[in-house]
Amino acid sequence: MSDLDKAIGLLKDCQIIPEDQVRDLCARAQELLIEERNVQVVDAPVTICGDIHGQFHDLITLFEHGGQCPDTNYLFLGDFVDRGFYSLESFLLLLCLKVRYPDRITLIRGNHESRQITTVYGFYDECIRKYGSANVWRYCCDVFDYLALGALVGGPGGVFCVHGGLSPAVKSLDQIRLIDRKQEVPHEGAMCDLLWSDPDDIDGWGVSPRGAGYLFGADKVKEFNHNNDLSLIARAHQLVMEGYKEMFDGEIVTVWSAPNYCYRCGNVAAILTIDDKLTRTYEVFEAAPQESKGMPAKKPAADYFL
Amino acid sequence: MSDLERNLMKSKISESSTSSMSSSITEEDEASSNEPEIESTKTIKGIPKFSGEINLGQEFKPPRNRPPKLRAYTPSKWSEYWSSETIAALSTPESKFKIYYTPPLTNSKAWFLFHHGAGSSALTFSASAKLLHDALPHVGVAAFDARGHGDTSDTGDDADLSLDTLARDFVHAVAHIFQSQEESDDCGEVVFVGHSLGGAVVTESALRFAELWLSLRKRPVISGVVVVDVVEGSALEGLAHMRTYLGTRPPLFRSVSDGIKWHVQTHTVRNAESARVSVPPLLRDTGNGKVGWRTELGATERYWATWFQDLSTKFLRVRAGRMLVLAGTDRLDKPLTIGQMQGKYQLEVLPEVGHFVQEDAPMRFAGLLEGFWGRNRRGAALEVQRALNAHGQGATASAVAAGGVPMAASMPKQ
Repeated sequence: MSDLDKAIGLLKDCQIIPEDQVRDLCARAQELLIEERNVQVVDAPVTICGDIHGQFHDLITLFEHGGQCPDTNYLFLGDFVDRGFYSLESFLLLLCLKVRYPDRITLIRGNHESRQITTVYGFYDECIRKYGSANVWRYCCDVFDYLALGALVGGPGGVFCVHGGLSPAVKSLDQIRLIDRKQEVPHEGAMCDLLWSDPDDIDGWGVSPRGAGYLFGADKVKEFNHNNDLSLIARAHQLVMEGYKEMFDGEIVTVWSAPNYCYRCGNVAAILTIDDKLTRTYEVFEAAPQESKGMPAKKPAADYFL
Repeated sequence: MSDLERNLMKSKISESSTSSMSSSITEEDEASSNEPEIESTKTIKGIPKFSGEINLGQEFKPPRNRPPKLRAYTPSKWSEYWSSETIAALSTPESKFKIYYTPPLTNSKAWFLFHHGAGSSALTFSASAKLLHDALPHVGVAAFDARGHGDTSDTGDDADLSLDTLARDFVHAVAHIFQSQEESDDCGEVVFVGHSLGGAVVTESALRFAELWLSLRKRPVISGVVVVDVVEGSALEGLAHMRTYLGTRPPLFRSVSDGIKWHVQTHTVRNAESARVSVPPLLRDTGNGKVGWRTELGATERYWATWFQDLSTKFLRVRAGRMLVLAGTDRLDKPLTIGQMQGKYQLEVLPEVGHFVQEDAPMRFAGLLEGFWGRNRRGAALEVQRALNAHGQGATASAVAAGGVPMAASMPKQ
């Protein structure tokens, strides 16, 4: 059994692997990812998964529903880390699978795969808690910078996959291919928008209430799909209580894969399988029984809040 | 977060920081030693920073023209931060509400109006309001002392701190500010900013703005509502500890300076410059050579739960730009977690600051408000549309010029 298979075994048991092994893993992952294009071409059939957010036990449940990798070909739309209590185990497992089966799993970048965001929303603290130093966090952030920004499934008439959505600075997939993606997620511009924007029932473009990216309407989705010979945009980024939601005559779908998000939202999760005829099949699943082991104690209430 | 983690965080952050700590720590330096640490985190943000945001380089510091030893905990004047003060009858004709403000440089009719938390005062916003106005001179800034607080008096019932009454006072304060402007077709716009209890007050006021508006003039448009460091879920959970906390506060100080010192040394306020202006209105002479608290917080207990009940769902119902600014850690309850992950409001978590975000990190706070203004002020959505169309959107560009393009809503239709 190779070291990698041993690491996969450990991680599947929700155990962490030694720091030097993480360093090697991240280095190997970077070598692989640097070869990938900004819009990675992925063959159908493939199972598309939305936000995970460190909900490790739900990720294991996801694999039980969708099939194990490499038996099933997977595409994850980013936001592997933050908020949940097992960002490390979740991301490292996905990364191990990527290195072990590079053609059977594709990872693209979400807005949480960022140094700034992970410092605030949990992944940084988790690395410190579990390794006693920020080294592992740094290795992982270096990998984040190499993740693809999107994927194209099924060739002509196929599915464009991205974490957030469209950007007013992007009219064609070719424009995305020209972005220099190997950097921290910027605060504005095409790369930021792809990871932050949301579809909405408006015409054209709108200001995003999030303070980053844009809102985009049905007209923009249809225009983009038409101009790029696409039948669907598959994206994540927004919590959908029912697990997935198609909008704009089925030309865009939000897929959300973190059930009972943050262990409190009460939502179900979904994954979407696109077969070689581009047929869509959704699989909905619920949260794994809450695992109390290893959960940090609830943060103390503020001393003074009035 | 443990001390170790905190130290590691600091060392990590300081790597990328350009601010340098003073090498020799005197008493004075110690008093403000949190400042560089706090502000050195300004590159770590909850969401991307936009180029339009404030960038004044260094943290705000009033001129250092006093002898250093005296300076550390000496009270400073409101007039270092605001251009004007006034007394307004917001509740009864006899009531005397203290308002501090700096008007817009032009007659632009755009204001930020701030509401402080329980036991605090208008001057908690001094440093951040000044920085905001420096960055946006065409926008006015105003804050007032709520009833039972600061230099406000004769309100009719100083002890009535019900949410309904506080919201009425707040909306009357808005009316007062806009009343002093010239009459014109433009009724103006306003952003509400509330800290802690003030967050509940501005949210309530935004939802009931039409109902509470009694002025003959037209209402200004609410462009945004900003709630600072209060979340219904954790606030209600924390109520149990509130009595204990209040019990730990010293009832008396020998002087106002001692009160300032206490706030700084207990890290209640983590920025001595802010405490020097914000603490004096919290204290009153007791007549025996000592000073005590202006507001008896314990006496307001019967209102505590009602302040925060349903705050999260109310906040999400506000029809304007929404921003929630939290100190230190993300303490969202269920409705806010769902809302945040559906992209319904802007969430900013500032690490390494305490509850008084606006005092601890005035530079960061003012920068957030400036960015929020840029995106949510009237016309911002239309300008976005125009800019995007001008940027090679061919077919629709001419339609915009003809005024025929449907304007994108700045908020999702729900």
